[in-house]
Amino acid sequence: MKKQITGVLTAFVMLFTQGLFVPAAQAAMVTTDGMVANEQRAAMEQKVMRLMEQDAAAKVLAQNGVTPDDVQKRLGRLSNQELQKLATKADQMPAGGSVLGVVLAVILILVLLDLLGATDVFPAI
Amino acid sequence: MTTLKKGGGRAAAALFLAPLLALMLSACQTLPPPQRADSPPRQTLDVPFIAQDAYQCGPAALGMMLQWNGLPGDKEELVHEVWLPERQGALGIELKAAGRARGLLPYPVETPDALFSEIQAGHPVLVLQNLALKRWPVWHFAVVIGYRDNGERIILHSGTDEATSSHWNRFVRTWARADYWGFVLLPPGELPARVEPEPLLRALAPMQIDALPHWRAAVARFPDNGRLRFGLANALWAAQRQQEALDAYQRTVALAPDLAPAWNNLAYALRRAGDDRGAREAVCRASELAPDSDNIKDSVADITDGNGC
Repeated sequence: MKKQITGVLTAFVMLFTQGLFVPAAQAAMVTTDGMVANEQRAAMEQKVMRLMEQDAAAKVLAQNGVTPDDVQKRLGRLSNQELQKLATKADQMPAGGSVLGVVLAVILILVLLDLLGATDVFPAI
Repeated sequence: MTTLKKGGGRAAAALFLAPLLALMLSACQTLPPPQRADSPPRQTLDVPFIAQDAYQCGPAALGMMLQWNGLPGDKEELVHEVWLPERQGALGIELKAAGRARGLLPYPVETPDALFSEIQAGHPVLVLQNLALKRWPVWHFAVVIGYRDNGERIILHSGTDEATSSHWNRFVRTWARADYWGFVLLPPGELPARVEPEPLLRALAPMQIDALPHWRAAVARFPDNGRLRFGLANALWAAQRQQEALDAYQRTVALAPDLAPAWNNLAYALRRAGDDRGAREAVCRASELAPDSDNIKDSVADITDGNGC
């Protein structure tokens, strides 16, 4: 129960802060730090997307009318820190994890990304 | 009769207990120090000692590392910098960042073998220990300054104890419970005894101050690594050495022709040098390699004056 509340709270905080983190692209030199951060970000997105590729995950997505492309797009809007949290969630799935574990993780990620259509109360998205 | 029974019970109990005891003992079998600790069989580094105050092992450990580097390591000042009062402790990443902010290279040391390699190379190692259980951790920062008896005993500046020694077996368990977290903090030009290009790149990338000599050392150590060369080129550019930076970007794309950010930066360096055509070619190469990058899309628009590739 406590975890659920924390989860919902996290979702709230993340959704309201999402708008703040859309990076303004600018033509410039790429710093070494920027390159490393970009690569790490890409690796984190891949981690989440790999989870979505599993059979169980694909079913959850299909049932909710969400495509992997939707997930990818939403991931692009997260700050690095937020994405890190999601990637950790995806990472916590043991290799060849249980179907239930995958389903729960995918649902959690969809909730956090506000992709289930159940949270229209957030007009910002 | 009763005594006999009791005796029999004891024998039976012993029969049960013996294998159980053996099982328990084998569960805590000793972990030998790595082979490399045999030569030399002992080594102690000269590292200034700072005794910690309550809970403040992080600032004290960092202060020792800084003083070993010949920098002021005033514990009280460091407390303000890295100590988080509400957690009654310091964060490991804060300690690394504080070193980096002083132009020192923090490089991870995360295996027993690497620990001995660094001590043998004369580098003290700041380690995180969990002195209690995995579940109820008691975190502690200490500085490993040496070892003796072929690594059977490890020598640390820890808490209020100067050059205290601990059984390797005992130490390595506390270190393992902290996921073998540790690092060396090295002056410009000096590299860890055990160093790999990618961790070195990640250690140096966030460095803002005095990064150039570190990048030079990194490139000297791994001359064929394009990504480190890219870091050097960027550091040269940041230091306003534009001609040298241009050369380094050109070397980078020769070594790592698939590295889009290097082509992007080469384009700007070429434009600065007055080679507009070269700049256009370079930025278009970056765009081919990373068509989705917003930064590079904008660079294309910028360098080609909106004409595109």
